Amino acid sequence: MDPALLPLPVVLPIGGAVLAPLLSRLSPRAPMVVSLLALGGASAILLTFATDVYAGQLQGHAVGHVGPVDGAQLGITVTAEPFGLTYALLTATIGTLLLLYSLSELGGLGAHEAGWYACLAQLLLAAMIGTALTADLLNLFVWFEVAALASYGLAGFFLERPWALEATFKMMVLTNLAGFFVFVATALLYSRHGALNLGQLQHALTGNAGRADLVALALLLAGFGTKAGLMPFHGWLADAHSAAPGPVSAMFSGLMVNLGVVAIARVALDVYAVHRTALPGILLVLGPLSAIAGAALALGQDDLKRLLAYDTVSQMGVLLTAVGAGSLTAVTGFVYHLVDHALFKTLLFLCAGAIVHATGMTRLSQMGGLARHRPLTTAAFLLGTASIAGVPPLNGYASLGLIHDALRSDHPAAFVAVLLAQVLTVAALGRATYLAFFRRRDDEYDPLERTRPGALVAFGVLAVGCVAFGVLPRVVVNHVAAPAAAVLLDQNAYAAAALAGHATVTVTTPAFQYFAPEELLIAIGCIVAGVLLCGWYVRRPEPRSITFLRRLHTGSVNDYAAYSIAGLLTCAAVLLTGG
Amino acid sequence: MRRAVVGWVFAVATAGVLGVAVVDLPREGAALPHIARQAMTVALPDWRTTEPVSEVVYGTRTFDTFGETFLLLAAVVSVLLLARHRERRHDYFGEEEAGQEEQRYQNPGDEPVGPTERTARAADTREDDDAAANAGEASAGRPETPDAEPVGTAAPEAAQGMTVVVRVAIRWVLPVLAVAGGYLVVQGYSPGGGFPAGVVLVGVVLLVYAGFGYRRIARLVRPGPLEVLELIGALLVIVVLALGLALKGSFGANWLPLAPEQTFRSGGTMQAFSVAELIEVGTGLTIVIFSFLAIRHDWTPANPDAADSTQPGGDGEDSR
Repeated sequence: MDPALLPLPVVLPIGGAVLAPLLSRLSPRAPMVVSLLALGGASAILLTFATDVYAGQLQGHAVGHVGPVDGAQLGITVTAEPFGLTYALLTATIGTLLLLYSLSELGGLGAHEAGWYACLAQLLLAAMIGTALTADLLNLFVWFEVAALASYGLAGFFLERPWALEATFKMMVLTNLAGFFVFVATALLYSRHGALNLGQLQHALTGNAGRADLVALALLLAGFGTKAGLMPFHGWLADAHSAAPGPVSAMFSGLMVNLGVVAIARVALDVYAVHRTALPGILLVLGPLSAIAGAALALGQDDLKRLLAYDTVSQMGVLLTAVGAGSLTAVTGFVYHLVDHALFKTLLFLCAGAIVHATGMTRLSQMGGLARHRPLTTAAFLLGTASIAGVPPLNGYASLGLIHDALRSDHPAAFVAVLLAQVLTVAALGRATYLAFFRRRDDEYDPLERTRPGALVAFGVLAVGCVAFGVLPRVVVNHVAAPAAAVLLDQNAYAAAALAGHATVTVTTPAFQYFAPEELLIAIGCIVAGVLLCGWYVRRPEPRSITFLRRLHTGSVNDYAAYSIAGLLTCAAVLLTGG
Repeated sequence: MRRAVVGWVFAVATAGVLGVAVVDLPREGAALPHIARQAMTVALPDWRTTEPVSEVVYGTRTFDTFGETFLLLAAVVSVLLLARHRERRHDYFGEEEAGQEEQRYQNPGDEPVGPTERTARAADTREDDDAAANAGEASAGRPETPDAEPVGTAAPEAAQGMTVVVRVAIRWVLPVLAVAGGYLVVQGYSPGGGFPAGVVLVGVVLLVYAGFGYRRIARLVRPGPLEVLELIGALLVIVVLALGLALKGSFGANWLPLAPEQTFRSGGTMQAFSVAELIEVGTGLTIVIFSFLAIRHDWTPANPDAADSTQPGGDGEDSR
């Protein structure tokens, strides 16, 4: 495919974002229809690149024909390479699905608010696609900011909920802090190397990462770590997810937090010669910390969407642990799990959103017995839970298997931590499933709203995705995850694509045994331990360790900002002294 | 107290870390960054513009400026959404019910009202009174102009009572500012083009508002048409840049013939982009400012009548 078409998957949803509010004046449903067309078009264009790119042919295009002069790229290059394309495709297709869901479930919104909703949703999705495709640090910052500003309006959409504005405010403070970090880092790197193109930066940084570069790396980690919900930068995440509309939380958790993870992986693996810095060590501490603390916090939540949000923190911790491990198996597992997480977390948040939308209940303590009233939502939620829990042959089993495999030999401490997080995750989601769907509830529900067709389509497609990505692990590894990992691990190929516009990468698939006895044993062991823990937990008062963790989350944005700064300072200190 | 100490420690430490980085940067006398060199080299031959800043903004880094245009749109729409009025919905929305319950939990009716809450409610009431007085519905015993108010009364919201000195000054300054704003964008060799010009024009609108009050400007500044205008500006940006892809094979490439430098049309599509940007920035910022001015608290059911007073149109235009 002609790489000049690469900006289109960003431009189409942006065009849709402008048309949606204009057309909302004609019909209240027009905005969502426009959005569907725009994102469908973006997905189609991205798909045309898939064959070449996943075969290892990387392409790049200098926007506006501003090509490199003497090895320096001054304009902006967009690239089609397996890792970015995977995230872009995921965003475009799941985004289409989420807008279909919104069209159906939120179809009763007023015309104006529906128009603005569709506008912001598309701007957010376009920004994420831009992040995936761009090979320019300042452009990355621009899309990061577009995503941030679009997310504020979406998080506070239901103004009738008192915490909507509060959540938006917290999100704004912390994300602005993160934007400041990323911007200062970009300025530092530009002042030192006169380069913004990632390939050119990679050349400049090879073998000579000075103090300013290391501080910039710490700032980038803190900035994108905020978006990724990595502890201790995660303060905004739980509030924003619980107040937002269902499909918006799904978009935040399934896609937007990935923006941070994708940027961290890109900067750490493709730009910095990461193994000469202390960054892997930092990720191998912060990752497991987020994984365990996030899952433990999820176990202690009463609000269903809050619970899922903390589980996102935990899953992001697992992903970044894999980035820190950095081996071929680990990075392949990272890409695989990134896709899987988007699928099952979107599904779970849509279920949670559908329950809130139909019953007006947000807390697990109010719910119960929904299995009888809502069989399809129950089935979808169960499937999502089973995927996260790593029940074979669903998708979580394969990707977690790869990550566990990579950690077991090289990083035993991180391996134990990730297993513990997995047990806690199973317990947390098991508890949510039991309390919401299967617990006996004495009061009858008021007649419940029917589940709408758009919701059923979204549940169905995502569920099929969870199963397909689980039963076809070879296809996913060989044709998606391994090529993406190859680009992340082959700095030179990425730099060539970002500068010269074309490169070839050799794809090596990691040794991977789908039904190896030890993998099965680990998976089953985690599930059994998790179910036992869940059974113990629902009957006991809250243990002190979890109360302590919850007390740390005071709800004050001052405290969250302080945690974030403390994290930044620690990362900078470790990088400056250990690098 | 303890928090203040922690804050200071963190602020100093952050400054220290940034200082470590800044000390490591090349000093003055370092080579001119490539991008600056390129902008100066290509501005004249490639774009026929004498302004390298515009070349960077609308030429070399088109895709960044494109993103920033929609960053502004995202900001404007976020403000519009968060400051919007209740709109009539059909179908059942569980979120509304959840919100009502959370409201009761957060603000139960029989709780004694604390001093902060009392001040806030008093301010709300006062604002409502002011609004009513300004709308001319009930003069509520207020004097004609704020100058005649007894010293110590709460200040009114609207400013139609500005003194004659201010009004005359504004009348004189306005045309100068408006021309300056137009000049910035029209001449095509001004630094930045549409962005600063849009901001200057917003300044004009704000001065009229400050000097002559809301009602004088309400005829011009109506959210409905302004929103449409803003979206049209944004659409123009997309069209100008996408035509580059259609005609010249790359998004944002120049497709207009280049006129001699220092004329209206020098700079090719750069100039068209800049004009579209002017529309988007000027209208967008105006919308944001006037949305803030028009925020009302009709979402909280603390005032039981508010929940019922759902407006049929809900545009925000007709509610004033």
